[in-house]
Amino acid sequence: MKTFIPAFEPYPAIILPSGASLTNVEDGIIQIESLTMWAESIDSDNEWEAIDIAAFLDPVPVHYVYALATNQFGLNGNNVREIRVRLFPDFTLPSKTITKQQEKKTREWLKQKLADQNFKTQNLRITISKKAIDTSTNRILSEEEIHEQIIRLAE
Amino acid sequence: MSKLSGSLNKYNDIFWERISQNVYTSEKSLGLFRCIFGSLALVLYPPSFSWISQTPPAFFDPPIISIANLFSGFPYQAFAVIDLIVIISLILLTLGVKARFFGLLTVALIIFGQSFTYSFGKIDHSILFVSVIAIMSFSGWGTYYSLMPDSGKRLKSSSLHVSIVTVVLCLGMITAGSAKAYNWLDFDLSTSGILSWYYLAYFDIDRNLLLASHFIKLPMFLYEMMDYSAVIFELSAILAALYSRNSWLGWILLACLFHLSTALILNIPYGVHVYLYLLFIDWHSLGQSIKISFPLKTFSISIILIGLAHWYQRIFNEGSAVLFQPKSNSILAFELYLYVFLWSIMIVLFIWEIYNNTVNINIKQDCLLAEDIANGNN
Repeated sequence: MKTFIPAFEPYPAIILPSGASLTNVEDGIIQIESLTMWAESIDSDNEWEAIDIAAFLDPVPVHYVYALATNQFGLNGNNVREIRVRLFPDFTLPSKTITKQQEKKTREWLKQKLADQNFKTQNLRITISKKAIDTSTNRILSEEEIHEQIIRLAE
Repeated sequence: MSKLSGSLNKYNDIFWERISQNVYTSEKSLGLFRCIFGSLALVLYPPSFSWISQTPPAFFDPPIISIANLFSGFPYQAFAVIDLIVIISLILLTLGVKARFFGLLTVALIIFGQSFTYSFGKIDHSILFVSVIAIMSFSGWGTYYSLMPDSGKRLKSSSLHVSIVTVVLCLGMITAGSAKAYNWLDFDLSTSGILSWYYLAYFDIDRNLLLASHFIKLPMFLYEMMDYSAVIFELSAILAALYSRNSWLGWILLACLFHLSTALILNIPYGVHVYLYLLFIDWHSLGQSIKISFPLKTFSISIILIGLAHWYQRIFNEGSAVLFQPKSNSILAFELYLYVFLWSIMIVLFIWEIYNNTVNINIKQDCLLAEDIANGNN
């Protein structure tokens, strides 16, 4: 179930981490898709600088970054889930709608984290780039952005 | 039909009999295991959830099949209370004060708390830690070295519980290994599983400590071999448990080496299985070999002090699972050194255990041989 429909992975369940991902390596060059988070430099206009993800997320463990970024830190407006369970009597699980107040709190939290690293707090940029890396030197040979997402934090 | 059911029952009996022969541990050893498990867990791993209170509400995105889905958001006020009760339960479990009750309470609270930890959109796989407590709570591990031993009708032997833990571990390994086998056994030198782990961690989350930067320049077939070895290693756990005691101990030794190498190269400080593997060491024999008697009084006082230190940190919204360490992503280096040290100790312990088991087998064989010769002379 976990392998084919990850969203249906249950907890608790006797499942250990598989990490069964694969990457292509040809002629000593490896291709990976890498996530970077950016914010605007406080010193100059329109210049993005990579942020320290571990410090930005703290105290949330850093390896949750992929899941959180995919979900746009809960600010994508889609974080609404209603699950109806057909039992006797029928009941509906609490809705996961984010209220305006919760959204504001989340924006404030993200802005504070950017401010802590001396960045402007209006925008957070998430990119996925395809990197070609020389496996004999760990040097990045080329880098191409294949996805970009800008989360506007200013209201 | 009854024939089929009869032979299935027969194979089922053989299966459990073989497993329990190969993973057998004495009840005195189980009592010591409980003390060591609990004290290590208190120093390095009392699950901590109060940090969730410092995260914003929109991060709440629980898995579909999870207790957290019964809530509309993080129950922020509950986490500090859960932390404190988990610490008390772990102290009482370790000291053997109604170990069964406090073991099960610890399990319930950890599963509840972790359901919210995994509501950041990803499930981590530390389930074996709670599985050990849940299963062993029904064994006799709360009988020896206990301040208030479990009373009531105790099962005749705890070997069934150790066997169940073994089978749960093997099933977990099959879930990990089968998913890898599906993707990694591709006989294609232009793809790699191990390198996908390595490079993502190295470049995305700066896991470039210890030996990470030296894990390059190997021939491609070696990386491919590592993929296959990981699959074979994970899928072979059940065979090792069924074959013999030494093969099972050897498999655990390999597991310790595997975890040591993932800490050194991939910088993954995965320590949850330390607690599980400790179950398979004969602590009672080890204590007798090195002539150490168990200082219950000193031990009890130390455990209470450790628990109080955790309590103090939690009350002031400080601390982490590791005693006297802050909750922060910046302690990765510290955790790595810690687990490199722990896995190295585990390797030594299992080499000793295999040696000890081999010596015991030889002694038994010599005794049988002597008996045969004596019978022959008569």
